[in-house]
Amino acid sequence: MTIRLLFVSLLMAVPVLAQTPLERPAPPKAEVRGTPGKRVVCFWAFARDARGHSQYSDAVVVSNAPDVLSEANAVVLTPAPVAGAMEYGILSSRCEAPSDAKVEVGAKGDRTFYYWFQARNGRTVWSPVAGPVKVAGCAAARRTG
Amino acid sequence: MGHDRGGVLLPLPHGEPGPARGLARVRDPDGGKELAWSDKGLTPDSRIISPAGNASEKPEGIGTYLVGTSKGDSIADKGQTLQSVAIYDMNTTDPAYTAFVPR
Repeated sequence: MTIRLLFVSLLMAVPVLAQTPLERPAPPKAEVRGTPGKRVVCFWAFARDARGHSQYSDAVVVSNAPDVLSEANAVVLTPAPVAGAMEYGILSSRCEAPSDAKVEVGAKGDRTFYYWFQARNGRTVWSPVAGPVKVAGCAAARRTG
Repeated sequence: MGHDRGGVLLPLPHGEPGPARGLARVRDPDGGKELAWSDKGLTPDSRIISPAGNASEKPEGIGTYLVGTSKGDSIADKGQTLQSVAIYDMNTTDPAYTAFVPR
């Protein structure tokens, strides 16, 4: 009888264990590879299994990220292990505006305009302003409604 | 309505570089990756912006946040284009995202 009760208890416990959500990971370990810079970038880690992803970790703030990221100058993130995770992801606050643009001038004229670019990576994070791109030979700007 | 995924344009209509005076807000209505802007003489003071990116903002909603994924190995941020993901902080205080479904 006792063994039977134990078996039934185990059968009931298995689905409960299977529903346990993935643990929220610790912040990833960050290491600058190559030449450090002055860029500040935040990184977050999350874990994922077949049911979806975990909450993401607290941020790790890298305040000496390379100014120009490349294969040689990079930030290497190592996720902290989470039991049951099948995959890990790293999120970044990095956001960069294009430094140049293809320009086509419509109405020609003798005016020169300068354009600056800014990008947004989601709801709220804006990149620093990049530019300007100088565009000569434009007609005077006119206001539109 | 599309998501605000684009960049912005700062026209300075008097021909000399200087402080940003305004912008044309760019939308990406069809979800295409390639964006273009058209300056048709926008009002310079149409919108005031804060041009400094805030690195401490949490990723939330749809945005280009993902550096990469791995099975546990290290992931290098080497300037690659970040991937677009939809994610939210389950501890969010923003009621707009309490019903948001991650994908």
